[in-house]
Amino acid sequence: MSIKVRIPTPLRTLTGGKAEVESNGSNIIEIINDLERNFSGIKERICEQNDQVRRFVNVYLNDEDIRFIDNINSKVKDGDTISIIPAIAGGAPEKKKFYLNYPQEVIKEPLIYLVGKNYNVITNIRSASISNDIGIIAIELEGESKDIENAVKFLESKNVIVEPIVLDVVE
Amino acid sequence: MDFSEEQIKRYARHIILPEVGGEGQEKLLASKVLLIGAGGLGAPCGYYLGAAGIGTLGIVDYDTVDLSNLQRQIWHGTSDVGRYKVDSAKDSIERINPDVKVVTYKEGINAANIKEIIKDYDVVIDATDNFPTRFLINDACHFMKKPLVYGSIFRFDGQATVFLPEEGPCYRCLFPTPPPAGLVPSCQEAGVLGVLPGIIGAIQANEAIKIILGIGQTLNGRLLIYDALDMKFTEMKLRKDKTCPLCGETPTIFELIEYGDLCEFKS
Amino acid sequence: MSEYKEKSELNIKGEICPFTFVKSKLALEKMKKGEILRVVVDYEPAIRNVPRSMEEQGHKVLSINKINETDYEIIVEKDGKK
Repeated sequence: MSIKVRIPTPLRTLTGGKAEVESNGSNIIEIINDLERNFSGIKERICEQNDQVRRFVNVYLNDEDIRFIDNINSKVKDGDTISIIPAIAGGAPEKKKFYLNYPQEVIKEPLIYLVGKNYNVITNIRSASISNDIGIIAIELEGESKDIENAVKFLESKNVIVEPIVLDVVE
Repeated sequence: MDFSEEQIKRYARHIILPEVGGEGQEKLLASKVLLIGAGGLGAPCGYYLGAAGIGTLGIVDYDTVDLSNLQRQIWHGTSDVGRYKVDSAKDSIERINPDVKVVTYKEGINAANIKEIIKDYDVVIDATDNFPTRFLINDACHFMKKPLVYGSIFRFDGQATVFLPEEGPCYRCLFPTPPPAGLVPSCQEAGVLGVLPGIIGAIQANEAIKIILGIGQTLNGRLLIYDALDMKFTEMKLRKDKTCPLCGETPTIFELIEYGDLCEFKS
Repeated sequence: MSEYKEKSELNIKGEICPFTFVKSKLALEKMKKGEILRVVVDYEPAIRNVPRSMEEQGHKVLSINKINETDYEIIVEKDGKK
């Protein structure tokens, strides 16, 4: 039995760019396993280890959420269309530049390392002036806007003065 | 109210519509809409809401305009780079329609301020770009009983729907919890076609206006999926989930959760 | 002049379409069902456009008359077709 499966753009890297693929099976999990045979790696993006669909992905049989039918055991028939709909949040990665003004007491703390490690942002120091009693760093943070916001909050909680670099002087 | 000559001309195409009329236009002018996010979705959405004569438009965004925003955030211009997005947005709206009172909030929305900010608004629009804020807005709108117009984009995919308080469903019926970091596409993989938020943001404005006017069928109970590459709109049923942790039969969430704070403990 | 007893009168001489209809509609919205509005226009195409739009939106156009060299009247009953 051949079923159409609609692939969302984030997963199309795994289907060679195809938006719609054919898959065989009599229920949802068989369809997903068949997809995995043809497009290796796709199953782990959709399912947990125990085969259940991940909680931030929804699978629809025609226009019905399979959670409201019989989950991965929902029966499919010829002519059905399955759609995989992941949670998406929008936005594009941002690059933000800031001057960090370190107070003396935290100069020895590896704050930039912690920012990169804990907040999922990429740090790039563009210029710096650090002595025993003063530290000024121009830094670029790249990541999702919420992560950048949280990274800035963390630095401020350490008494670092964080000022956005408004004019693009550090390009 | 009596319309001024200028307002009659400005809103003529609304007034002519049987579904809007002068009465509908008055409703719009008396309405208060909160737009959370002044970026890709917020720009087209806010532009249309402003042009439509929404009386009070609140705009929340802590961020400043970056050159890389201009590919899609059409209410900011090159000369706005470095300015607060809400200031640039306010100027744009006022240039189009002086009837609109624009209220700006130069702050990140969080568990501490969200209830205070949304309490005076009739409709809330989620035009944000991250999961923690989306869940926070959903939960706050549920607790405060505010209609929420949801729109989201990624690369070439768009989603839109309307969550109505009490009727349900809510965002958590759709996705119970945010994806763990690392399982969402990384920054390098991300990106978005500039037109995409234009389409989804305009749909959000459309739904907000319908909610205010009480006309037509909103997207409540339906998830609209847009594929910009294949140019396909599809619609999925969106049902109230009995097991929803927020609006289900045995809820487990009774107060606002800040997922952003989890980062502190992320190893 | 018409034989109807108008409740309201709207003189929109100098207006062109679509504002002739927009202003007529706003006047009608303030009236009750069954009340009569007399609209005076001097834009000739309006005597075709305005009545058609009024009928479409449920009002009943009772008569259209040329009242002098330049002016026309449109007599309409609010919601007369609802």
